[in-house]
Amino acid sequence: MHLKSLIHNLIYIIGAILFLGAAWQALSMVLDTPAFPPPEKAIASFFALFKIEIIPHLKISFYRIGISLIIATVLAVPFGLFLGKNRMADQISAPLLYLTFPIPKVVFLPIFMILLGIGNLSKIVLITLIIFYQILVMTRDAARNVQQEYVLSVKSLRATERELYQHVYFPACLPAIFTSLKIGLGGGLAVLFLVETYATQEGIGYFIMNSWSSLAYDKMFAGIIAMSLMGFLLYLLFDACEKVACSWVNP
Amino acid sequence: MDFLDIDALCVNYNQHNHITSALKDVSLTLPQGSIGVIIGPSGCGKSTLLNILAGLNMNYQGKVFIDGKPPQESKETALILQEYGLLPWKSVWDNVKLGLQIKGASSKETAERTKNILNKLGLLHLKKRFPIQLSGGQRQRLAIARSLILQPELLLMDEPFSSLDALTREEMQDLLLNIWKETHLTIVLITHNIEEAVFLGQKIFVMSASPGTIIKEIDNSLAGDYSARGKMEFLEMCNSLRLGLRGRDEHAPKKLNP
Repeated sequence: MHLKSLIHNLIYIIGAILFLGAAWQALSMVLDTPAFPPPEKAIASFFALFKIEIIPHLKISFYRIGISLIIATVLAVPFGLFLGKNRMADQISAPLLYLTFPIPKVVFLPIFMILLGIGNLSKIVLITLIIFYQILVMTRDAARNVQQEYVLSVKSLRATERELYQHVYFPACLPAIFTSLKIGLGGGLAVLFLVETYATQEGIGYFIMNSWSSLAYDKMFAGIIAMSLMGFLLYLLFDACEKVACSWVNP
Repeated sequence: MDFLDIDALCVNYNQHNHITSALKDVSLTLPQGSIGVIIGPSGCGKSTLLNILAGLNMNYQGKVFIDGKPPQESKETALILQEYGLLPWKSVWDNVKLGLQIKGASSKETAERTKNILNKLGLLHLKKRFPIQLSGGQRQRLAIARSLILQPELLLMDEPFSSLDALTREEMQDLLLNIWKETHLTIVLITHNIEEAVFLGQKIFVMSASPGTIIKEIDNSLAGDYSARGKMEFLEMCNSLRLGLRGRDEHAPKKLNP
């Protein structure tokens, strides 16, 4: 039963990959331009360049997005739980969040570069900020909606505030936290690409832009594949963690 | 002084600058080791009363004492809510041990007592399941196990059997009675169901809505007798209780279970 569904899933995934490959192939034939090479060319150069050129850039990019994800989660989850649980704090902070949430944080890139330098710090701060908001807002909303029945029943066991967070609020919000991580990842990767195109010679974003400006289109596509794979792997990681940590949702 | 002693209890809510009375001048006593049942229409403040006894609501006027102590200081009270309040993210095992965990019991003692109580309530083979994977009756057992593991002196139950089918409901009433006969803990149970009140309540308190107060107190000698269901006296008692509820409360007689 279990194995069967696993095989089914595998078939669907292979089907999706074949479909995407075919669409890519068709598009490159229709466009017929060196700027849009067929998949086999891009994949070939991906494997050819992987060890010497792509891996070092990928490492830097992984570091930037990974650190940002960790910092954003560590800061936003407790803060979001706190705001969702405490109505007063929520009411005071809500207008501030409401006003600042829709601001596209990338516009602060120049400011961060001036204040924090053009090194990794300004990049990580900007990516962190984007992911932070995403997690904060979704965690807060989830904590607001925790059923009072659970809170009361644990309170009646004379639980302390810390124990309420530990046994009720955090586990109740965990599915929402994982969702926000997945959504935040998308925004984070987009900004990662952007910050890596300025004032740096490292990172997969730089690799893509550099290949582009030297008209090495197959190399550029190899970079695009690498960046996509990075996002895909992180997404898979979150998905796997969620399946383990939130097994109660679909037991 | 009785084990449970409530005197002139009043609770007011401030809703949109309009003061609403949830409970007005409620007085009742219950001796240690007996079962008191509170019955009344929806919105009569039964749950408010229970929350006060559980120490969750401290905004009240009047005197409330459990074994001589105010509710928030009395640590030997367990509460079972209408939807049981079982945590969906914890397994059967983890739900049951939660109370001991919060109390800070050693892990060895916790494991031992958790195993014993699950065994007693016939849930041990389900210990790895989540609440969502249990039937209604099993969930109810789990809620009872979670409360009993703390060896409380007072067990508060808010319409505990209302979502169960008729047979499971009777089964759970019998189970509760067995537990009570074994432990002789004091139980306060809220219900909508007249038969349940007569079957379980040695003392039955009839409440009315707006204002929420006790309009009748009945000493019920039929309580706790397994064979009483279906006997003539039992049915008569149910009928008189039904009439008592209807006569005094013209607003919501139809909400009561027949």
